[in-house]
Amino acid sequence: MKILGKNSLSSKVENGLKILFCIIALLDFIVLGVCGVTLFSEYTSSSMIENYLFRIILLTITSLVFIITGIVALFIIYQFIKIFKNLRENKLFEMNNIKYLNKISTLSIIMGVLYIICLIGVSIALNHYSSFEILSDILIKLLIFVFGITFLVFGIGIRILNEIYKKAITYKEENDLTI
Amino acid sequence: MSIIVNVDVMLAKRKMSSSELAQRVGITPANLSILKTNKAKAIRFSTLEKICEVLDCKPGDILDYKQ
Repeated sequence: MKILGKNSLSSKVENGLKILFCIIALLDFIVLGVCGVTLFSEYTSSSMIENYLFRIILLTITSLVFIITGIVALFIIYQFIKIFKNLRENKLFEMNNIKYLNKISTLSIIMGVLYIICLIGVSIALNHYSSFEILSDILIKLLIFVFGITFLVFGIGIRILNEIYKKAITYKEENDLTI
Repeated sequence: MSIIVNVDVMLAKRKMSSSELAQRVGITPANLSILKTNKAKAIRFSTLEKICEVLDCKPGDILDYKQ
């Protein structure tokens, strides 16, 4: 099977990414709606509930983190779509690809940091609401931690690979301009 | 770039066209254009040798250095 060019694996991946983009956009809207409804019900509920303000602030922060990470994920996928479009058109050693990879790296690091913030928020909430940690609490924390670390490592890894790619482009340009 | 390629001058002296030089040296006109416009990053000894042979000159006649 062809890896690059038209009707190749890269063009199929590009199509898959476009579908994924639509799914994540839809999910982001759903999450936005769910968070909005939850927050609205919390706002309108009685303020006599214990730790009312604390719960509102925590919910707002975690909702914002989830929505922002969704938007960041959309941006990352959009950059990948642009890279795979270039691969489909056999534009392998383009400086534009460097720009896209740099953006992906930065956005991944941002996403990792946001997940870590979310982890801190969830940890505070879980410690505040329940006197002892149950297995599901630990799993939730572990899951968010894994997501955060994965995106951080992915972002840093992409940044390093990008430098190698940049050098490859320089070598290719030199080779092309050697008469 | 401080290395100047004076192929144009030698071509004028020898009353030879760029396309003829490219054909006789065995490089494409596009590559010769890159060389003439000082966009080239490097030149192979084999190419330089052929250019010198065709234009009947020395490398110093084609290449110059300006600070």
